Amino acid sequence: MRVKKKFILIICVILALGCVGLASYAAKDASDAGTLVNVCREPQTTLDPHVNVDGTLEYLRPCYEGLVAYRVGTSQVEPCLATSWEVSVDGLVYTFTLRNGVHFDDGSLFDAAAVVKNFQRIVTMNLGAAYLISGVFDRAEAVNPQTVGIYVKKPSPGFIYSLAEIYMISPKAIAENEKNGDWATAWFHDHIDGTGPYTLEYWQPASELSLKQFDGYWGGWEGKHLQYIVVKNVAELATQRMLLQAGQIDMIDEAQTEDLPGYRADPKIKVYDGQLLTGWYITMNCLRGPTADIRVRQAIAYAFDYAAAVQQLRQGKAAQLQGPLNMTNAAHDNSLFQYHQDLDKARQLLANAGYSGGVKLELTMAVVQNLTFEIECGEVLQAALASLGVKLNVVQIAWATFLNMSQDPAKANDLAMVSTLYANDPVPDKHFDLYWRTGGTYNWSFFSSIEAGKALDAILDQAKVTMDNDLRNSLYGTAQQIIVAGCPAIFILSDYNIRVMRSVVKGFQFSPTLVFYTPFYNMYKELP
Amino acid sequence: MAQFIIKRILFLFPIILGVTFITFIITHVIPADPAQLAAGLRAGPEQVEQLRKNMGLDKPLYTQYVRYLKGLATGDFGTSMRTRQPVLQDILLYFPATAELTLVTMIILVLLGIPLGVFTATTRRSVDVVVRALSVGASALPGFWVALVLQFVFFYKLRLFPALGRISSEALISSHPTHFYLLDIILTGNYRALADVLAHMAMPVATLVLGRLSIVARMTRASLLQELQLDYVRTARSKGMSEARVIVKHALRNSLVPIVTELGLHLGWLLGGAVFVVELVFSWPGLGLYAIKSILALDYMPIMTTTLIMTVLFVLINLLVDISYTFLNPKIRY
Repeated sequence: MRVKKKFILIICVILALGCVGLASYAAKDASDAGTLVNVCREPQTTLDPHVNVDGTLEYLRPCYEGLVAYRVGTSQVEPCLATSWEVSVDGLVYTFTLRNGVHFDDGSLFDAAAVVKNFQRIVTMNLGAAYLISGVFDRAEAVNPQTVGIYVKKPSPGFIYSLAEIYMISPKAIAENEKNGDWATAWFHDHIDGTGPYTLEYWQPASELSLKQFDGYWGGWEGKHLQYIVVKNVAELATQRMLLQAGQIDMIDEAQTEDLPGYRADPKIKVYDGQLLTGWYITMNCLRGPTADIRVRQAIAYAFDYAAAVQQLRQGKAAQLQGPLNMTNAAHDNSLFQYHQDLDKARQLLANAGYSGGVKLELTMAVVQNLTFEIECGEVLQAALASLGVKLNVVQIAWATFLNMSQDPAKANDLAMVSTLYANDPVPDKHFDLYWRTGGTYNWSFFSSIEAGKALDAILDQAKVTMDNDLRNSLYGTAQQIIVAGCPAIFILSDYNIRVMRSVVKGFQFSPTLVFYTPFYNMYKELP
Repeated sequence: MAQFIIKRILFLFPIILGVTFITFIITHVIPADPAQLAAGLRAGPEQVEQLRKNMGLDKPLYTQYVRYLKGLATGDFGTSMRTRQPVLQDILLYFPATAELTLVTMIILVLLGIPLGVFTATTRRSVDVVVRALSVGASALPGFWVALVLQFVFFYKLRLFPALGRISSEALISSHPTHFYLLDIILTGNYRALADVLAHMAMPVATLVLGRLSIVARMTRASLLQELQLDYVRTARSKGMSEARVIVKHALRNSLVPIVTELGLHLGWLLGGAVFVVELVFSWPGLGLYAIKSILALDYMPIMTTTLIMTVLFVLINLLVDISYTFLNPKIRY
C-alpha cells in the first residue's frame, strides 16, 4: 500500500512539472504583425557574406547590399549603393558614383575606401563570393570619397550582374576585429555589420536567427515594413506544415507536391508561383557506356514523356525546356529543335544502334537522395523506357558522393539529373561555364570532350568577352545549336518556383535570377 | 579499485586509436570532394584547389591522419568546413543540448521505469499483463513516428507544448555560461525560463522515454521477481516486516545490479544515436543534428570528432556502471 502511495505521489510530481510548461513564455511568433517568421531546413552556417555559399544568404541579403542590386521581380540590375556607373569603351573600367549618406550598422560611413577594402578582402580570402569575380576582377581604386573605379582584366558583359552579389561590409568592423590576419572572419561568423535595412538581433546556431530593423537605413522606413525577421531551423517538412497551418510561422521554404492542393484550397494560405530562369535536364554520359552513341541518346530523348513531366510534376505550370537555356533568357535561341515523345522513332533509333530483338539495354540514372522532383523525373523516364524494353535503374545517391562521381566520366552513371539553379544570370556566361564548358562543375555529359562538342569551349570563350549584345547572343545561339544537335541531355522543363506563406503576408515577389531570395524590405503583414 | 580504474582508462587509448583510424578510412574512401562542397557549387577550380590546400586535403592520407592525431593530443579537433568554426567550439555549443536531453530522459526513465517494474512485479497478474503489453507496444513504435504523433497531438491539436527548439526567444537566458539551460537558470537566477525550458523538453523526452520505458520496467520486474523468491525475503516477511519495506529496502536494492547495467546501456544508446532522430524532428540543436548535417556534407573533422566523443563516453559510462557494482553489492570487488 505504501509503495503504491509513493508511486502515485511520484507520478503526480512529474505531471505537475509537466503542467508548469503551460505557464511558459509565448514565443515571438507569427501572431505579431511586425514579425515575419520563416523556417528553413538547413541551419545557418556563417553570417559572413564573403564566405557563405549556402542558403544562409537569403537572410544576409536583407542586411547587406552591393553597388548594384536586382530590381525586385526582374532580372535587371539597378543602382543601390552606387547611384550610377559608366563603362569604358574597351569594357575594362567601371566607374561608380556612390550614394551619399549611407552608414554601416556601426555608424561608420560607406565610401570609396570601403569599396576598395571590401574587394581586397574578397580577393585575398578567395572564399565564397570570390567565385563571382574570379578571373575577371583586377583591382579597385578610390578616385575620390564618392567615386570608385573597378578595373577588369578582360571585357565581361556579366560582370555588372556579379556585383549585385558582392556585398559591402564595414571596414571599421574589419579593422577592429581582425585577428592574426583573418580579415575578421571569426567576428563576422556571428556578427552582421552592413548597410542593409536589417541587422542582427540574435543568433542561436542550429536553432533560430532573428533580424531587426536598422533604424539608420538610408532607404528609410516610410510605408509598411517588417520590424523583425525570425528564421527557425525546422528540418522536418511535416513539422513545417503543422507550424504553418497552426499560424505559428508565416512562410515555409519548401513545399511538397502532394501538399500543394491542400495549401491552395486553404484561404489562410497563399501559394505563389513564379517563373525562374532555371531549367531541369537529364544529362547523358557522352564519353562512356551505351549513351556514348548519339543514336541511344536521341532514342532516350524521344522516349521521355515531356507532357507528363509538365502536367503531373508541375501541375501544368512549367514549360518544356527548349535547349539548355531558359526561354526567358535574352540569349535563348527560339529556333532550336525541341524533342517530343515519339516511341516509334525511339524504337527505330535503338534498333539502328543495335538494341533490338534479343539485345537488351540497361542504364543507370543517378539522382540526389531525397530530392522528390529528381526521383519523380527518373520514374517518368523509367516508365517510358520500360515500354521500349529498356531497363532504367534510378539510384539515389548522397549529394557529396553524387557530385564527385558525376564529375568523373569513368565513375559517372549513364544519366544524371541536373538543375541549372546556380547560374540564372541574364548574361549566361556562368551558365555555360558551369554546365557545358570542359571542366565545369556540372558538365556531367562531357559533351565538350567529344568531336561533336569540341567547338564549344572556343565559342564560349569568345562570347564571354563580347560586350556587343547582338553578337554575344548570336555566339550563344551557335553554342545552343551545337548542344541540341549533339543531344547530350534531355531538356525537360523550364522551372517555376513555389513559395507558400500565410495570406496575411504581403509584398512578396520572386527573383527570377537569385537563388535564396526573399524581398523582406518590401514585405509586411496585414493581420485581420 | 584504483588499479582497476587506471587500467580501464588506459584501455581508452587503443580504443581511440582504433576508432579514429576506422572513421578516418571510412570517411576518406567515400567518393566525394569536401573541398568542392565547402567552396560552393559555383566555385572555380582555383578556389577549390586553394581550399583543398587550406584544409590539408592535398596531403597524403597518412599525413592527414597523423596531423589529426597530433591535433587530438593538443585539443585541436580541426575546423568544420560547414560551420567554418573550430570543431571543439561547435562541440561545446551543441553537446550540452544533447547531454541535457539525455540526462533528463534518464531521470524520467528511472523515476517511471523502476516503479513501474515494481508495480507489475507485485500487482495482480491481469493488471501486470495489461501494463506490460502497453509498455512493450510503446517501445515497439518507431521513434520518429512517435515524435511526429506527439507533435501533432500535443502541439498542433492541443497547443500544450511548443513544437520545436530548446527555448522561446523571449525566454532566452541572457547569459548561458554552460549552455546547459537548466544549470544556467540556476546560475543566472532566471527561474521564469525554467517553465519554458521544461515545456520545450516535454515532447522530446517523452519520445525517448516511451521508447525505452518497457525495457527498464521489464528488467526491474524480472530482477525483482527473482529476488522475491529467495529465502531471506521469506525470512523478512515471517519476522513481520511490512511488504513495502521487504520490497524497497531489501529485494529491490539487491536486484539493482542488472537494472543499473541496463540503464548504463540505455545511456550509451541515447548518446550514441537515439537522440539523433528526436533532435531532427524537434529541431533540438544538439550533437545529433550537428553530426547528421556533418555526415551529409562529408565534413570530415566533425564526423571523426563526434564518433570519438560517443565512443569515449560509452567506455566511461561502462566504467561507471562497473564501479557502481561495488556499492550495490559489497561482494563485488576488483
